[in-house]
Amino acid sequence: MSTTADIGPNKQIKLLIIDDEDSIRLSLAAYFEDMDFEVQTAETAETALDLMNKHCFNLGIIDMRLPGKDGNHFIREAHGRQPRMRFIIHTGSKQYLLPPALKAIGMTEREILLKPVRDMAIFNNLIQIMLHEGDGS
Amino acid sequence: MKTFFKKSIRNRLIIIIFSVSVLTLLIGFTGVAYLDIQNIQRDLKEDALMHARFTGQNCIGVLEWADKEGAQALLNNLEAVHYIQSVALYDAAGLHIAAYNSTGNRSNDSDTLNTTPPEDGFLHVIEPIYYKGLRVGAIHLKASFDDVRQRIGDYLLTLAVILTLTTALALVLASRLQGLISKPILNLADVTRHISKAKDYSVRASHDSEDEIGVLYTGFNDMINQVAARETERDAAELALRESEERFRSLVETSSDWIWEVDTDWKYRYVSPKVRELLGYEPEELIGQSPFDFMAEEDAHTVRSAFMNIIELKQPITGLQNRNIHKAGHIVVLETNGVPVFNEQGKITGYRGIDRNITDRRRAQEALQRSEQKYRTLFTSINDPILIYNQDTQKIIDCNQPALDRYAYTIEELRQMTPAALLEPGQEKQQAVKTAKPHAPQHYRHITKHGQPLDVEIISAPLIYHEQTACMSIIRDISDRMATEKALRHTKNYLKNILNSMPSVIVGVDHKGQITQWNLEAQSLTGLATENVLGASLDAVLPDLQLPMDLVLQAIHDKEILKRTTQANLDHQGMKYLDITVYPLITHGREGAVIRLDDVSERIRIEEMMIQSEKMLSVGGLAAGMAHEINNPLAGIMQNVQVIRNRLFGDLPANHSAAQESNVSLSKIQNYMHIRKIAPMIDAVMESGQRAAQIVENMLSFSRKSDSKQIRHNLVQLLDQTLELAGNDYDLKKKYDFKRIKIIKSSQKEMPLVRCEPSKIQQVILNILKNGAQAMGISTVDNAPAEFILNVLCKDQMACIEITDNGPGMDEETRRRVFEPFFTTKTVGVGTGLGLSVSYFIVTENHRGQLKVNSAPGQGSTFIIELPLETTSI
Repeated sequence: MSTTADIGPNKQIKLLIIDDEDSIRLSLAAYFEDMDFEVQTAETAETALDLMNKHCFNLGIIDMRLPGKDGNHFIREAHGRQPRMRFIIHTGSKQYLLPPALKAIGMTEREILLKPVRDMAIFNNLIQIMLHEGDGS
Repeated sequence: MKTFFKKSIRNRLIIIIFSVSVLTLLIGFTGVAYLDIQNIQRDLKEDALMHARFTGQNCIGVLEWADKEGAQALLNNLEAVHYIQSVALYDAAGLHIAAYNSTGNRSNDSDTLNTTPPEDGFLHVIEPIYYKGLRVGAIHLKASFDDVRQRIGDYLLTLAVILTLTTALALVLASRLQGLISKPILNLADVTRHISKAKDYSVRASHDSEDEIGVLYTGFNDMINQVAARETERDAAELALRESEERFRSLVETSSDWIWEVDTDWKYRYVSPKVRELLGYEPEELIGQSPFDFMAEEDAHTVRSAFMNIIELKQPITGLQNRNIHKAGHIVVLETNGVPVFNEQGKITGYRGIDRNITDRRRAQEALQRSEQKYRTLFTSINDPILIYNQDTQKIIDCNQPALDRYAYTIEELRQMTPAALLEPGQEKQQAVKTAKPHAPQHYRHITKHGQPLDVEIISAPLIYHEQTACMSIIRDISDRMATEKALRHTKNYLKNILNSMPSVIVGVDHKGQITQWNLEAQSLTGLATENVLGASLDAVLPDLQLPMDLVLQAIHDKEILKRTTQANLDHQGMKYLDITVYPLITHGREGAVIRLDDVSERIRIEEMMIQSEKMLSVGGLAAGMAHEINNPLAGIMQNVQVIRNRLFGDLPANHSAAQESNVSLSKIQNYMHIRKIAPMIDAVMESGQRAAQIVENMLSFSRKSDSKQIRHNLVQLLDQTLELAGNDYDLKKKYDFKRIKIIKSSQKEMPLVRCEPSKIQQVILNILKNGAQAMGISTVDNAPAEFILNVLCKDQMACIEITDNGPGMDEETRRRVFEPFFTTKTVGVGTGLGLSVSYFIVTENHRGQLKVNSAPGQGSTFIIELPLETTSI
């Protein structure tokens, strides 16, 4: 299950991870750091938006249920600031439906991953696919 | 006045004479008395005036001289006149000079002359005194009437004495003189009284005067003479009449008939003593009574009106029969004959007649009539036609009204016919044979005049009718009875059909619990024919029913409908839920009950299923609330485990640099891990996390959501795909070798496409197959090789997938709970206990189908997935 071969190209990829639950946020960060991504984390949407003032991200892994502004809200705002940034929705709610506003910015059901994600590699694969699409467009 | 006229002539005469004389005297005396009294009073006045004048003339001198004493002396002279009360003298000026008073008192009211005398009951005379033409004074004389009154009183007393004496004289004279007139009259009256009293017409009134009374006497004597002559004549006639009457009376009274006479008011004037014998009354008791008083009530009424009519028309009474009540109370029938009786003026005065006792005759007559009436009544009022025909000629002689009505012939027509002519053609010969046996009813078919057939039963008997040897046939029309029997048969069949068309088992029992009804459904369910169960006891026929006869009897007794639900294996094809209803019946007072059995297994199954899905929905609701909370920590566990695994076993640059920094080679660490078997532990954590995640996900599937990704799909194809999947399933391969299970497939040709979510249905099928494989892994029926029998078919607008295994099967308890969430027969850890629940939910909630299972211990299990077919076929 190791994906060491993919480490190299991840060097320049900047990830933003938002989750108010430490164990999830930190484990994700640890995983992607191990994968050589450049990772920034935030507990809330507000902190994350602050980070966006200093950094430019390729992709965000966003929890939906957050204290303060929720994930949907954050994605809309983040997209306004950095239109090229892509998002993966990481949620524990099976009933989650993609709101029309997010569909409007080109998001699909594919970008929704339900907690718990059985295999972390799924994240990596999805990121690779999404970023390659981004390159292609 | 009345009393006056009631008095005798004598007294009246006395009163007349007396009163006339008294009245005459009284009037005369009164007139004389009045005139005399007037004279006496006038005398007094004139005397008083004269005295006043004289005294006045004498007093002139005194006045001249004003000699008061002289005046007083002059006035005192008047003392001699006793009636003068007082005298007063006044001078010309009217001043008082002197006064005299008989009482001696000096009156002080006469100080001055009072020209108007006072009204005091005295006579006042005031006379002026003139001298030589000059008024020199006045004299006032006051005289008393007492003297005058005294005289009048004496006078009147004298008169009264004279009157009384005269009156007495008048009375004496009156009583003497009246005798002259009253005596002869009273004498005549005495004679008359004597004659009328003693009937002595020989007496004559003697008289000697020639006046009016004399004439009266003569006339009276003549009249007496005539009366005496007529009396003698009449006596002779009366004697003759009495003799005649005596003759008739003895005739009448010795007659055997009762002779009577009534007046116009129908009151008996005469009754012969025979009545004593006839009615028990004394003749005297009947006089003044009317015949109706003795008649029976209804006769009295009719006879009275008849008599009133007769008397009006002055007709005789002839042969009138009437019932009378004997004094002793019994009825006596009399025959009355009578004629009207007229007086000389031709006016009807009553009736005279005879009554004869005809009770015995009448009784005999009535008995005969009654007897005849009885038979007549029988003959006419029997609703059955009766024919009487001559034995020899066979001609019908008589018949009753029903015969005419029924056959529509007239009596004349029938008299031309024989009974055989009424028969339907072809029966005549039969008739001849059958007449041999009388009294036994024979069945024939008759034809009416209108050609209408009649089914009849005939009883014949010989009789003598009007001196003919005849035969009487009583004919009973049994067409109605036969029609009724037919209708009854029809009704019975109809009811039987109704009972048999009922989807329920219907069993009738009588009050002893013996079966009286057994419908088709009962036959088909129990396999027992009606003939075999009728009369048998319910307990014996249906012992499984657990319906004690006592209970049925109780329901019959209480007249209450009894309901209960039970389980029974009536058809020996598995237990069924039965609703038992016992309806008590009362038919013609005979008690019984109808027992209805309904198979409600299906309903109970559905109820169970509904409870099941409710349960699942609540689990789903709980899971939805819980999922997020559990998924977050699960994500934490699983992600961290993966990071740990990566960091321990992954070939990451960071791992290397960290090892280097720790002065350890990564291979050494990994060697250590290998020795301590860290990797399988981490995998175990991972696997546990995944299983927990799976449970949560399964539980979430119970929440109803309507994301319809259903497409029309071929079920046979879907089943094949699933079988293939099952063969390759990692889990299955690991635990049961699916390839070794024999699979028998069959499907209906041209299965329609079914709208469904293929992956979900696949999941269901897979679940069932897994369970079946697992069960067959434990044991199989008769230790045969494990096999699945799969069948796809359409039934009742449903597409069915039947999956039958030959595993150990389930008991009832397991079968009922098999779809319950977390219900599992597997040992803990082998299954989640949600597989069939999820399947059930998918089929019933997401596809509106049904998932059923039939199973019994040792008989394998059959799962049936039913999915609704689209109503509009495409």
